[in-house]
Amino acid sequence: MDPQEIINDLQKLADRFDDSVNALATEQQIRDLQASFLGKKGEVTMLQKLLGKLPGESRREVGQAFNQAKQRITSAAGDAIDGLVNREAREYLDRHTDLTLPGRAPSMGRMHPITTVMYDIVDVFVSMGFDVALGPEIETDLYNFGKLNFPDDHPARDMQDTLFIKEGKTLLRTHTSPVQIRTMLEKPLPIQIVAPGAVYRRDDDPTHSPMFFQVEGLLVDEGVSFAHLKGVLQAFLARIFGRDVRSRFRPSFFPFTEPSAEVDIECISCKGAGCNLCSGTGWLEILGSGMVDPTVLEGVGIDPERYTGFAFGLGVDRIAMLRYEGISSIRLLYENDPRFLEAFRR
Amino acid sequence: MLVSYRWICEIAGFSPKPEELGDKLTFSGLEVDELQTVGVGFDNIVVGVIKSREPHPTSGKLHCVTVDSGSGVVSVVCGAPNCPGPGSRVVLARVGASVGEITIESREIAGVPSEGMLCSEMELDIGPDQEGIMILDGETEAAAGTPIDDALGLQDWIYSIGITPNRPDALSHRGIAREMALLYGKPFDPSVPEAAPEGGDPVGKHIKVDLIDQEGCPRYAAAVITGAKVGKSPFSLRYRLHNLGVRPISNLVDVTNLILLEYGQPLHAFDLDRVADATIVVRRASDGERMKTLDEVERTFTGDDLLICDGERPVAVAGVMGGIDTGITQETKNLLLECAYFNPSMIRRTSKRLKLASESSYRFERGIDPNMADDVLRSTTHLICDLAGGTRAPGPMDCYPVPIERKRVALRPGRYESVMGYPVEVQEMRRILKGLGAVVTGTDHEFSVLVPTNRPDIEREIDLIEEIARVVGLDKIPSLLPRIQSCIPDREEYEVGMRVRQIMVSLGLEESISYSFVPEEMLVGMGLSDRVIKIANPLNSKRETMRTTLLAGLIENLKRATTRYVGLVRQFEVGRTFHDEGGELPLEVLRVAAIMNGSRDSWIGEDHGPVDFFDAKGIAGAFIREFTGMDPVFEPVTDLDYMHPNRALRVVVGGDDVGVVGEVHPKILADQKLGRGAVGFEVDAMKLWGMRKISVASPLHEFPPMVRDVAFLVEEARDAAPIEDALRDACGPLAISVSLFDVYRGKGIEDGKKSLAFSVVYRSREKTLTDEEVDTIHRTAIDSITTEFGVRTR
Ligand SMILES: [Zn+2]
Repeated sequence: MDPQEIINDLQKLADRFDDSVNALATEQQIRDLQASFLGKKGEVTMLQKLLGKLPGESRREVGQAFNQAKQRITSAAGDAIDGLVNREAREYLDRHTDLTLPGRAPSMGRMHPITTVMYDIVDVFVSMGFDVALGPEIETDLYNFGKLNFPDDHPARDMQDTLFIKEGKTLLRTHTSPVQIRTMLEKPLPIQIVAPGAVYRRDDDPTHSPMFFQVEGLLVDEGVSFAHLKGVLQAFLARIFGRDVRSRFRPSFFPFTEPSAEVDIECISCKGAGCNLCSGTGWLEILGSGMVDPTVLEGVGIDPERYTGFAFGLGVDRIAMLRYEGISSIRLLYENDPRFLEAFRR
Repeated sequence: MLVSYRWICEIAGFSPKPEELGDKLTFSGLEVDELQTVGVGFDNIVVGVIKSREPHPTSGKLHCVTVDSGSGVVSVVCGAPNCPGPGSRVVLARVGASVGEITIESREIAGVPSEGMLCSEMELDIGPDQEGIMILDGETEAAAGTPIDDALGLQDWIYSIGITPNRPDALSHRGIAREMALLYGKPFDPSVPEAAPEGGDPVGKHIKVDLIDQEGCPRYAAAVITGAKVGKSPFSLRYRLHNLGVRPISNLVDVTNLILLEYGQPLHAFDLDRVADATIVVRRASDGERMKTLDEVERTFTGDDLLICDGERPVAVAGVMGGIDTGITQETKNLLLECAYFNPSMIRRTSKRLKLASESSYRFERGIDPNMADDVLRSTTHLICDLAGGTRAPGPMDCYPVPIERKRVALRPGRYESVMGYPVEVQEMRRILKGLGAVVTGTDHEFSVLVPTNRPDIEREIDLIEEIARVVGLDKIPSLLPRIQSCIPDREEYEVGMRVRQIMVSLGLEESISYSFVPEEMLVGMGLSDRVIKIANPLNSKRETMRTTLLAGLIENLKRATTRYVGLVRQFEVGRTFHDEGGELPLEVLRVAAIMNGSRDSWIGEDHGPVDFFDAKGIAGAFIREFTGMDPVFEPVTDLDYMHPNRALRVVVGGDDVGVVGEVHPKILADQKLGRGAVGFEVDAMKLWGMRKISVASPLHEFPPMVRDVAFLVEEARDAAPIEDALRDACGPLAISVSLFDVYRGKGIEDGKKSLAFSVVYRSREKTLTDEEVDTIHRTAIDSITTEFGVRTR
């Protein structure tokens, strides 16, 4: 066998590989082709088996030729694969996507606007050092009225139209105020609590829902005065409605506080000029409050000469309706229409 | 209560600006809800004097009159039946005037020119009378052309005041005038009424009063007027009543209504000639006794009701309403005026029991001043004799066996400062208390206050403190922040509720808050009406029963959404359910429930199908794991009326039954006219909270995992979970996860069978596992499953 002939064959094989490899479309095809040249039974490998039969002096020259051919094929295969990857990468980058299609949004959960507002209200008082108390929603007449200084047969009872379970005995609480009584009976003094929760009245029209939510507050200690009530409530109003909110205290009547006051804030919609929201008065009634009546303290065994306290109550629904626009009727809050619930961001 | 500005100014004797007075009243505790100006806007409406009156040439019902308009004589065609003759004063709307919706123009009426209109009260909105035009003879002497509002003094301001139950004294114009004087620092010195002319027999000859029930009626005073003539009240009186929302009826009735509004003392006028035996008896009713009241309703009484009777029968429900047989009529000549003080609680009980409230019962149940009868009767008889003629029978008629005295209450000015947080001068306190009508004695450290009897609400020191505070003004009080004692928080249930909400929201559900009361038939249909709590006086039958399950409200939400064409609901609710356990108060349980229907999240061209049982199971499981750190176990359940019999499971955590997950029973949904397919769950939140485990982080694995799959060919009816559990046991501690990843039926699988494919992850904390070790464990485990369950691998 002529060494030069082998070298020429190797040259032709390498040329043939070059010619074929660039027409291939996948990496696997390139690897297969490479294997058909350099693999166990590949053409180059078969040729290499003749190497041992060559005379010593030409073996070295032909050996170098083998190495060169293998290198050429390997690097041509590598280049071809690289080219292929680059082409895919370019095609991937060039591919058109309709970006005007909508995004995939996971469905999102939300708290009810009442919960959100109630949480914010409670949070203000908790950060001032108040604890949170809850009580039963079905109450005794005694805790809902009697202990709160609503005498039997007294017109004060007309202030709250009641849903009874057993007339005169048990009822759906008409306010969160019985939690005051329960707390004063159970907890040591001093007492500082807020009590959020559902309350019920026998009312059903666009401005009244038979169920709604209140937050009650109570602070009983030595030396508590009406000035402290004003301080705490003004701080609360500033946190909820903004630092510059103006408020006013109007004398009023609640059987379980004396003196009692209703608190108005300057209308958040018209800033006092008068609009539909505030019925032209420029003010919005926001909560009821007062000094705990001595009769109430005595009724739970607290000495009213030594201890004084204040209490307040506010409607969560009312504040929700001020905070979010477009709640045309309080009853919408309890219909839970998904389209309605989706409208409220925190 | 409606209050006339002009009237209270007349009583108080001074006239501040109406708006300013309104604000002062509001800030002293008499909240002015509305201030309305009345009797204005009468441009070109004047007093006219009739010059001539002729019948209309063609129409028999019309008159042609000439009227002195003050600026020339005009011709007017008038259709009123009472059109008066020459010399009479009438109300003339001249050309250009607006009367109601009409603008007066010159025009022809049945062929005769008319240059104006003669008006009725109704047309001017100053009274209810529409029978004919207003005739002003006797009402005003004003010259022709005088604007009508000037001639009749029409302008007034009407306050609508919300009177709180503690202020019975403010239920009258005199009471408000007293408050007004106090707020402006002026003395209150109202005029004393003149006496009526007296004549005829003394009052004792006309009537005998037998006051049997002194508890119900501490005072019964009366007066008799003879020879009165029923007629129409003068315009000024009728106009005042009209503005205050009271319909004028006749002079006798109008006067009693006017006195009620002035003094707050309800009066009842009987026709004396219809009172049998000239006797009044004040006594309790006997059970079942009956009478027909003025509103023509037959009433039945109990022994707790107080009746006014004559010699034969009941003639009035004391303090509430008179009887129909003895009331004032057009023929009444002699009348008996009752001016009593009744027990507030009894009046209230009767009024509640009869469901009959009146201006009279409203005031009696709040407590009137028992000591104003003399002034009231003097004023009333004077006014009646003035308007209707007649004379008052001389002498007093007053049964008042135990006079109600003024209460004495102590007030320490120092206590005022400690309750209110700021001081008020002692002199200022005395001034305010005197302005209330109290007599103040005692020292500057402790006042002794004699409280007037028109203030039954003032009984204690704190009541006096409140009076001073409201008159001084709450805006004077400084704002202080209290020192608040730190406390150990005790708000578990509140925090649990919030935690539940956070988790449910993070699982993609919206929070619902629905009414706690639901239709009872719904609970019955769900089989959850056991030990249910019912409302005695529900608003309607849809809201009569307290919920025993949150799912009821959620299903109602679903229905509401569906009727509004909203096809997708994913809601949860946290709230109480109510269960009668026999105690005074029911058991209230904090639960969380969820409901879902409609399609899963998808995107254009994709469809992940509608939600099914496994969505509910997945969310329930995720919630419980996140909330408690425990894995729920789901056990079969078949006894639920509200869940699909083959698609519901009981949720068990830590061996305890905590709730249910499932597909809502199609029958329940059909009852609500809903299609099938809604799924949900409900669990006991507080119970779960009690089971929670502290979260423990385990060290992260360092060595690589080895994953092996296996599929078993099983009968269709065989459940996956027991095989998975057994496989987990068989694979041993190196298998850190065993999970089902495919359930396959169809090609290559014979009918009635399915393939369950599990993936097992082996991983050691000590070393990298070899293929050989893992293969050995895995093969042994598979063999034990095929043997135990009699299945083969695939
Ligand atoms: Zn406004």
